[in-house]
Amino acid sequence: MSMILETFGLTKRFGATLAVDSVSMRIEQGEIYGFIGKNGAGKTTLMRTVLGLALPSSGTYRLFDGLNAREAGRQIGSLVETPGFFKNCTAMENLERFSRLYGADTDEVPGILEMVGLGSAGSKKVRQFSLGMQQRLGIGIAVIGHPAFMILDEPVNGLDPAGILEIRNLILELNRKEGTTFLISSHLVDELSKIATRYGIIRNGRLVEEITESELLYRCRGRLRLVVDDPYRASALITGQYPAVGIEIRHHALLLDAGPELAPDLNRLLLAGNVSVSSIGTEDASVESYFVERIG
Amino acid sequence: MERLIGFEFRKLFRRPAFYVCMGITVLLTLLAALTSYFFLVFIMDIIPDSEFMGDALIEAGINGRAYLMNAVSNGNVITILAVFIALFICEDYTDGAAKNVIGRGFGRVEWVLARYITAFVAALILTAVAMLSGFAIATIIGGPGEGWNIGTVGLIGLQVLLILGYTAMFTFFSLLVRKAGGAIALNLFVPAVITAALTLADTFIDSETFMLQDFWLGSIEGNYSLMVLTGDFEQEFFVTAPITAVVYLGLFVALSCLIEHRRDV
Repeated sequence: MSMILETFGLTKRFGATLAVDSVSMRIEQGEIYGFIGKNGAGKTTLMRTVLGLALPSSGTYRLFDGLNAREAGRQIGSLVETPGFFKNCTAMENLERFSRLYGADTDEVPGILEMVGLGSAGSKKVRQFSLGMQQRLGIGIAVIGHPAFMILDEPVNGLDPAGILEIRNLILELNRKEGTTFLISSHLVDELSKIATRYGIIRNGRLVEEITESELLYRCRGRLRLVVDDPYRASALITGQYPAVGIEIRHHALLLDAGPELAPDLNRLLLAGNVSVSSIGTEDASVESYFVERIG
Repeated sequence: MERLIGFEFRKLFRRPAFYVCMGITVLLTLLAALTSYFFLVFIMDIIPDSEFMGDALIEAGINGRAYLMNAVSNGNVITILAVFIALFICEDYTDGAAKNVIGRGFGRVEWVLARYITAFVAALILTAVAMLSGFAIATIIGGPGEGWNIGTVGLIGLQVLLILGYTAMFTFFSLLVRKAGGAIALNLFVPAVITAALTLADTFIDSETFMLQDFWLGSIEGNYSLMVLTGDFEQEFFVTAPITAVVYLGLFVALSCLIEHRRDV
């Protein structure tokens, strides 16, 4: 599997502010890498640095297994921060201009307009576009020339639910049909979880965790939650009987890596061991809450 | 580089502001010629012997050759360029198109050079419009003028060099501030501030042989106007003026490349 992006201790400072702090990450070909972090965590700065828009303060990065920056750049489509285009031109003119610049076929422009849902707005001046339409055009410009790697910063910003679905399908289609690799940041983690195959969590400029889709699903599975009067005694009793079950103690609650089918047995075990159980239930860890806990 | 130049030219020629600037150039030239003409008519009305009207028009500089010679130094072209270059260069940053260029692997220096080439072409077109419209309007009013010779071509060439020097400076300021409003302000006021500062510096230096102002575009342009008006051209001026213009041009292009090379978009 070839490596699309590798960063080695990538750091970006703005004066005294450390925006990206020694980030080392790898994105393999065909991945949809979900980049998650709070506002100001460093997601956009890292994306800008990888795109060559910002120069790193220290550290390096490699694109397409070491292809030179210029050649690599030609294979990257991007939408970072706000979409960039000429507001006094129509959507069609914008796409044609950038197609010519990128050496792409201008005959594909009508198809791109259709693909991003702007088929009927091609002759409209961009300054008359809504935020969502501008976002669609930004994505349209990013897909010009069939880039092998796309960097999208909050791509569904300003889109209505139907638009979000369209863009999600577009990303999945490009990934499956053309093998396009994606680095996508989004605040909508539930939305991101529908497409991402791997995640990177960034907090205060540092990459604090990388996790695959399957790992995430495992960690977000439902857990059994018991509220007891003596959690430490209860933990000892359960470990003695079920040594393979993972236990986390939170105040008077025990969170067990076990399904609800074990609840009656556990109840009996604890009552027999003089531990009073005030409630038993399951706790579903949503993807969103998993990330919210980690992004700080 | 070819694609970048094509991209910039397309941007230039599809920009309505470029054609508006051309229109304003013609309009200002027409207004200047008509104002001079009616002022002269007013004066002739006061002076009873009006049979010298034609000579007076030539004397007053309302003829094709004079307008061709003064196309740049009357200041309109420079002011229009100061505004247009700022709008043209800063558009890439305000509309965010810069991200789509640099983000796709195009070099910063290449892009700076492509924009300089386009800005120079825009300046040449606006200068040509000013010269040709001035020549046509003034010829209709006062005839083609006298004194056409090879030196006329040299004077036109010198004006073009001065304009390119100014264009390089305006482009540099625009690339520096990246915001149209700020760039327009800098382009309009910095030349005036430099002229004032050099005048002040020259009074302190107090030398009869060396003046800092002789090496400033604004002063060269002023001296040029004076020489065209008096017809008294200094030989030395035709050596120092073009060299200075070319040095300014090279200096600002080099400074722009240097700054943009290590700057975030």
